[in-house]
Amino acid sequence: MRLRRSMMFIPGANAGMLSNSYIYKPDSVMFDLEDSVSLTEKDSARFLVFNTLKENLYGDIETVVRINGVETPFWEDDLDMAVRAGVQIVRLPKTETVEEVKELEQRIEKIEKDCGRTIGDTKIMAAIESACGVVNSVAIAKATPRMVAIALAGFDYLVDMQTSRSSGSEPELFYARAAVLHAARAAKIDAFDVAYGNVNDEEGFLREVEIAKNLGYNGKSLIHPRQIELLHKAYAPAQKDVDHARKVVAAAEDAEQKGLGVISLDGKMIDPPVVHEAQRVLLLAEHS
Amino acid sequence: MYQNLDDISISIVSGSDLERKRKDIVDFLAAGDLRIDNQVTTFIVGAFPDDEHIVACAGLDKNVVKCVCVDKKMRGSGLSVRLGTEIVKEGLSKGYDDLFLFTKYINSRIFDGWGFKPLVEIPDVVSFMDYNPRQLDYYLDSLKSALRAGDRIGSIVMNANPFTNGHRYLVEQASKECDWVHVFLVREDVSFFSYETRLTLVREGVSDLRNVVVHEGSDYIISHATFPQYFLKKDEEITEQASAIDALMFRKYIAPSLNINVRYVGTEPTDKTTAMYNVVLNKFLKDCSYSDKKIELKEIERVKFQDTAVSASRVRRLIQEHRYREIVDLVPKSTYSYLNKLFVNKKERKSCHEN
Amino acid sequence: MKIKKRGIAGTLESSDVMVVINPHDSQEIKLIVQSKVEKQFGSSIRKTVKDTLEKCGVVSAVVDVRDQGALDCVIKARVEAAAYRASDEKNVKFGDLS
Repeated sequence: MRLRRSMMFIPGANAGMLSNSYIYKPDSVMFDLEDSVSLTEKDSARFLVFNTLKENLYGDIETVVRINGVETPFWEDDLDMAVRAGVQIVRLPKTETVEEVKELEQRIEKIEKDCGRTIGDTKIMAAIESACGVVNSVAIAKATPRMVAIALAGFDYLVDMQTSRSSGSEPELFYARAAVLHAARAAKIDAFDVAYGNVNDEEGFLREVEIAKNLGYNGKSLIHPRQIELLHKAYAPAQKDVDHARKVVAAAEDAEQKGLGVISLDGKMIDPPVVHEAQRVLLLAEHS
Repeated sequence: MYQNLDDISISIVSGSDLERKRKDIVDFLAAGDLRIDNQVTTFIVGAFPDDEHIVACAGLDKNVVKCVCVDKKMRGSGLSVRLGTEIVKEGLSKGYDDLFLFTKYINSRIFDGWGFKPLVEIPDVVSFMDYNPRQLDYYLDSLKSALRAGDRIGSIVMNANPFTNGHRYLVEQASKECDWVHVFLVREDVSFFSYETRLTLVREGVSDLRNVVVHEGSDYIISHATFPQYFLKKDEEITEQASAIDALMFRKYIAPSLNINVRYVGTEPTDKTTAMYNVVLNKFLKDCSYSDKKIELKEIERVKFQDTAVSASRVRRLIQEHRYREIVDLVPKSTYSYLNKLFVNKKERKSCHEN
Repeated sequence: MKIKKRGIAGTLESSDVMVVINPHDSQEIKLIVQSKVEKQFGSSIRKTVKDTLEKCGVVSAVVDVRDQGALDCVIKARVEAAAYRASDEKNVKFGDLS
């Protein structure tokens, strides 16, 4: 089990941020080659991200590279660099169809073979950024065993939907949030909620975190380091939940030691999913 | 709408874009008590993409950085270094090996963060800085190969546009008084005659004088960078600062490389720029507040022909008026034979053709 | 890899390094390094730059390095980017660079 609460976004052309961001300890780090990198720096960003990955600066932090979209002249070079550098996850922006994911998968496999990486080692995350992507999200989420998460990206989606960001309960994202999360859960993979752009608005950020957390999202894409700690705190379980989870896990271990097929706590039978959830709560508690 | 530093986009503005944005840049500079410099052909502009509201700019006039301004609210935010990076890249991409800037003495620290270091300074007034001091080292090294021993080592810096009997007289006087004379030719190619032509004519014009060495000029001696006003229109007001920097550059770097201890200039009765330059030169070659060795300035009375000082500008005027025959008395044979080939023969060929 | 023109990569920002690679008229690497951590890391910076150029197959160049305290991986990346830009080479072989 791996926590994916915070996916910290780092512009791939920014040497300072690439060098230092591990100190904020996000769960995942996403090196961006797409929107944050100007056309004139696409080449230099690849070299920076490649060497940063090779240096293994980020240790246990999960590494993600956001490549340019398959409609651009950049994505193949981006992918070649990322797979050869040993990135854990490739994030495909503006995913709309299963075919795009299949094309990406084939390309990854070819590079893995070529550079001697285990086939299937490179995982995929699809970013859903349009109405078409939301509608196809179930198929996208199930398109390949490499798919470990899908992420909703709000900015382009709202443009596509002919609306814009509101404050408060954010009705404009209701359907997309619910649909993408369902697709992820149906495919048994993780889901990331949209990034919150106004880094100075702590209150607004936390309001969004509550929405995502209560819906069941694993976490959010983040654009500023200061959002990491806020998010992790918000995802921290309450002490009574931690206490309860400890009991559940202890009961499960006890049952396993005794070779019992059934787990029980205080005279009640416990299903495996409850044990799983308890383990997740303890993991969250440990990392909060 | 919130504004985030990372949102500021930095763009290169030149040509028709510059014309379109000129007024915005002028207004932005005015708010920072600065004036736009019309010699600037490229600006690096930092602005918020939504409304194009300018928050920073820096201009490039050839290899000289000018018109640098960052919005007060943005200072200390890292925007200045982004601006510096882009202006340096732009200058280097254009092929310049070194970049220069003048700044108020108190602001020189800002440009230290851009990789610029002071070459010479007038304390509490102005700093003249450059990006790649190694280029100056290369130039000084090339000069040192012509190092000569002697008690009195003279020097003359001339534009020689073209080389006249006036220049010749000045070099001859110096040659008589000194063990060696180093002649530097202004490198800047903005004169009527090209640098290569001027250099050839100077070399030919002094070839009989055994103790005279002719050196190529550079960015570091009367150039667009060290002394921009030298190349502006004659009626422009000239400030002491501008020519002082060039004088200090000569005293601190050029002269010591060749053990030069005296500089020769012609007296200047008409040209205001040159007259002012001579006054300032005299002051800063000797000013005691600088530790570099003092240089004597020696003014030599201009040679005259028919009661008028012989000058390159007089020669150019005669050329423009097609009075070629009158030039013969004002320039050495070598210069005349070149001009003859260029203008007189051409004209005759042209008239043959017309016939 | 042949250096055909000036290639520039990097910035003057903290933790970064600006690398300028120029053609050279002799078969050697002429390396100029300026760093705010010169005393401590000067020789290590030089070694990283030289090793990276060697991996890229650059044998003749004048290289100007302005370091603002960049990590090794950033220095490598900036040298590689500048070298590729200076050589006009478009097909980067990431497999050979590590």
